[in-house]
Amino acid sequence: MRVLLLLFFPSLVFAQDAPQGDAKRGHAAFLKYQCYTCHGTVGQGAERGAGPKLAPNPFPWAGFEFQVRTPRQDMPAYRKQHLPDQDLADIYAYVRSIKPSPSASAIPLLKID
Amino acid sequence: MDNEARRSFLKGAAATIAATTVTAQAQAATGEKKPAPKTSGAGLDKMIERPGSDFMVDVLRSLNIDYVASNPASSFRSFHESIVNYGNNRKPEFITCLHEESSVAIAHGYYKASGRMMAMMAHGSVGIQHAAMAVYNAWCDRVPVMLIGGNFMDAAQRRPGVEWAHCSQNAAGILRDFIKWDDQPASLQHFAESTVRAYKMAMTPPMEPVMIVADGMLQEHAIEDEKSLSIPKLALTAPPQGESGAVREAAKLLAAAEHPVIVAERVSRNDEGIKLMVELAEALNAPVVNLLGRMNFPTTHYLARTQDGRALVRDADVILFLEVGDPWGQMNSISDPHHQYRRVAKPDVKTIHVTLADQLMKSNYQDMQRFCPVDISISADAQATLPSLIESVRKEISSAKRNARTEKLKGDYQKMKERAREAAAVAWDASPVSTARLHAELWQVLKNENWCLAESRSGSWAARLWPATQQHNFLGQSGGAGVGYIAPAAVGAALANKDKGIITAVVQPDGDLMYAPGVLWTAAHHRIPLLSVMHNNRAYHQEVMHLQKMAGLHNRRMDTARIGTTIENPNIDYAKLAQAQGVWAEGPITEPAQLGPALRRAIAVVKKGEPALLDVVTQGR
Repeated sequence: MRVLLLLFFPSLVFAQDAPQGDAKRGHAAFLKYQCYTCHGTVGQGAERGAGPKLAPNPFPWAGFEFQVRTPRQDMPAYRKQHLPDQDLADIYAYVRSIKPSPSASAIPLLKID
Repeated sequence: MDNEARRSFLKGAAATIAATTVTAQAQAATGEKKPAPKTSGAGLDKMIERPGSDFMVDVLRSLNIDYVASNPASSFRSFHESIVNYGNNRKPEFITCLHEESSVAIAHGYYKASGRMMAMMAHGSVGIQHAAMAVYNAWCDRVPVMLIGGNFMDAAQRRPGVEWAHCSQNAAGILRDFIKWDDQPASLQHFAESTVRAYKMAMTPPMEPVMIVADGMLQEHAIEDEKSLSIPKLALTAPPQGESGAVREAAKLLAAAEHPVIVAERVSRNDEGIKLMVELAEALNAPVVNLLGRMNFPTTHYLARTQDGRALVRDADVILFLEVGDPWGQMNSISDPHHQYRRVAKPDVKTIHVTLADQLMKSNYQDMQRFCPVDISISADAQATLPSLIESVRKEISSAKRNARTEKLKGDYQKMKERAREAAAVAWDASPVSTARLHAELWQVLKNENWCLAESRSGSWAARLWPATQQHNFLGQSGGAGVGYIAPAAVGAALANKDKGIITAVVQPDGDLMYAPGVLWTAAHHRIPLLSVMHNNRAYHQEVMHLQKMAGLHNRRMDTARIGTTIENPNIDYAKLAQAQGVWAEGPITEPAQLGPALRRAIAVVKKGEPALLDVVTQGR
């Protein structure tokens, strides 16, 4: 049901459902579990389809957890016995803590024509 | 006869002029009349004034082969000596290599930058074994390379020991699944005819590597009857155009389409090919998905829509494939790691393929990809077929229909470019350096130059961000994805570009460089100006992800995926690796703010005619 809600009414899916996590521990876990290999160290995603951007503004928790545990498409499944709930909560806290980068229009080097 | 065919015949005529008699060439090389060839004396006094390998050099000269890349080796020592002394090490010049795989890949990159074939030499046994993977890359990438293997065929003449171990009955056998043709000539006349034949076959689309085995005794023994020898004239074969009826049918289908898409991979051989691609795309007002096997299409054109390729293929009613290696893979997918099939294109999409793939396919290695049924199959060279296809399309399509698409297509192009810039901005200040930042910084030092990126992938940041319009801007990839291609191919491209005022750069993966890092020494030794910017993610990054997928599939821990896949502990110091071989280098650079100034220092070195390397520690991709 949460997934259906996520798909059709993302604004109704509850940020408060996210368990307590620690962003600092989450950063360590993000590296330990090698999330960064496909998503980059600051969740930016990677070229040639390696992994989509996660941050800033990640999925709501329900969708995030669902994708990690039972992923669609090419992402490997991270099940509970290998990625405990608390570590996943910490990872989510880290991803949520990532600040937006400047927009392209504010970066002179990206004014490429 | 189209422009290209005309040029081919003119080249052939030039080669014919070059192919004068052996005697005349020998005289021209020394500036004086040579005495009749002879072998005199015995034992220590024995002297061979005019060895067969001199004639072999004449043959290479008649083909305008400028360089021979090679490790030195005893099975072609006479040929080597003739190049440097008889030929004064000019046209061809001996490019000293430290691995035969590098020799082939240098020739591969050289062809892609120049359109000219290079030669490489290797022992017909161990050297060719080293060379094999690079030959396979060239085969998959439809690139001609003249492979010359040394071999002593007469067992009674071999020295005991190593010479036996380095000889074979069938030197080309190990390569025969992925070369177009080979021969092992038994006489000098046979050598001349087979080498000219090999050159002609290699340069006829579909272009591929060829191999000539040069017998050691044929090289070392004196020419017996020079007046009887001749080098055949060469006329390159005009590439085949598509059959006119099939081309007209294809044009009708395309003109009637509401959502036509052009997918191109190895189409353009030169700037004329790009111009023709633009004419075709504009005649149809059809977006182009460029798989970048060659430059093919300018990234600045509003019809260049590679990043939207999947959606365009999904929505297309007619797809024109132009020399695409895997059209099935464009319209279908198999998921990883679950191997689930998914159709991408519409079930009733109409497809046309112009390709020479059906004319040259072998069984063992599976580079032919999955069989893809199409509606119109035209066995022809894509670039040579473009003029007639453009003409037919222009006759078939109404300008009103064509122009009705323009506004939306231009808007979609702008949105695609904007998405790329916004995606590049994410993690702009991250450390390790993001690959987008690396490419944006590199562009700053190339943008005012006539530039070449020696290895370039569809979907890379360079392809997404940089304005590229000329054939030499993006040289595409290896073809067979055999790792170890990029570093030597970049050296080959820089060798081709160095006298044209073209600055050659490469974004150099760490794992690729470590296959044969001695190619940096080759660049330093021959003063080949190449800007290498390391994409140093300290891993075989693709393999890290594969291990993660397998661990997920097997419900096992994921944090072990770096075992056996990373290149760290200790980290390799690529700046020192380069410096040790005489290449200017800096790094490791981990902070993005340091990159711009370092690139400006590096390009100054390259513009002085020397290679330079910057070690940049990067994000995975």
